Amino acid sequence: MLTVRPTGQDAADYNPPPGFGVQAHRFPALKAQLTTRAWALIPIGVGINVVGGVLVTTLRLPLYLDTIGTVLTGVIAGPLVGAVTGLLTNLVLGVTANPTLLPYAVTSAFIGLGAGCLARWGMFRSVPRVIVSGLVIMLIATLVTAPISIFLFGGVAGTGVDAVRGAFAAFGSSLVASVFQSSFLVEPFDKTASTLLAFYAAKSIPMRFRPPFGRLSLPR
Amino acid sequence: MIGYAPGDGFLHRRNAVTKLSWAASLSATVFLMPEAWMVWTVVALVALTTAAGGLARRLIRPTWTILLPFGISLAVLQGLFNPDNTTTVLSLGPVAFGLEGIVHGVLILGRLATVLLTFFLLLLTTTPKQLTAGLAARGVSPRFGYAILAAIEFVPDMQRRSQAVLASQQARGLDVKGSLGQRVKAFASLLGPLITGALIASDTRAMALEARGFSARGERTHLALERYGTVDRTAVWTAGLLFLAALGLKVL
Repeated sequence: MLTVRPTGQDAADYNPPPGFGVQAHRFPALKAQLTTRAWALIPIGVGINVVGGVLVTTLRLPLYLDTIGTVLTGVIAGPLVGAVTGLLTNLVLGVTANPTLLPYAVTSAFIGLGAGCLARWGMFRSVPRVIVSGLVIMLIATLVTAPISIFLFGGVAGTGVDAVRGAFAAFGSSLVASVFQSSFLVEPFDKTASTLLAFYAAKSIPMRFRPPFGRLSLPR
Repeated sequence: MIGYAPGDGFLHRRNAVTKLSWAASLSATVFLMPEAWMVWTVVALVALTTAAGGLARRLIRPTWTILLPFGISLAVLQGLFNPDNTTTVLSLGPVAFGLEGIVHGVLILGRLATVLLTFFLLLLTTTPKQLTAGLAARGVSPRFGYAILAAIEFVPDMQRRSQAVLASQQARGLDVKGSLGQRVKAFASLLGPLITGALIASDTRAMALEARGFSARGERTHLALERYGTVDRTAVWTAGLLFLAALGLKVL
């Protein structure tokens, strides 16, 4: 088989841009994860997040599934890329659809960061591990979201969960407790489903299209 | 969805960064204000600015469609369950709406109104391109600017694609109205083609970007230069000082 590679003088000068032509054997360092390929992946992750949310409405599913893109980019391109994807999703939706989503950019960033770190630690190498990862991501999301909802919007997020929240409060829990409880009712299913979907999507990407991080974080 | 509306009012002529810093500063400041009347004074001032810019008609509908459901949720949640409730304003059978909760709800609603109005004003008078070019000119990484622009561009594109995939999968007999299990399966079979297609396209995109010097070092020049004069500079500093003053008052 013929392989073309720079030789002689050229070979010494040849520096492939980050992310191209480099076969990784070790996880790239945090800053090295933000390659051109990763930057091209981020808007796509944002698009997947939004489309997930739209399809859920079309199919009338009782979930959100609007973090698939964030988890996906975190798993195949690393924590930093996942965090930027999450952050940008809320910035873009915040400035085009609903500015109340802006403060939750913090939550989304933490979801991406969490997914990336879990992938780095091998938590995306088998289905049972992925389910555990989904629950961990749910915990992260709840811990970050609840304080934002309470301090900024008095416990209201403008979604259907508000009704559940009101019911909890009516049964005598304090507002703070009911914000946490209502999140724990819907979120586990949502985050586990999102994480599983992101895992299957990531696994279906052919090896050569994966960024170096994703070649190591997923089963072959 | 709210987008850019062409025009040449005084808001259109300001630099994107100026408008962004005011939107951010006012939005952060109202969260530091303890009383509802202070917050609603800010809302009134922003509303006056909107009216002076001749943009009021465009903003009323999108603002209400978000504020109204929020207001109702807040009134119920805070009116019924705020722990500070002692004075009853209205009692319907077994439930009683407390005054303190309602007042707190009004405060939160005012904060939300400020965030909505200021950011809607920014978006109505600024194109995404102006915003990213303006930010890049002020030292924000051009890569981050690219990601914002591409994401804004990509969202409607993906929505169109999802409709196409939905239509073609339905033509192949996909059931989108069946039981919950069937609909979950339908979700997976809709998302699959979308994600795979988009990810493979990202590879082409990365190479096209690289061919245009995306990871090149050095200073960038811009095709569209936005004016950033003394007025803009003063306005940005004023916005920053306003927030710092509010923060100082809150801490002291």
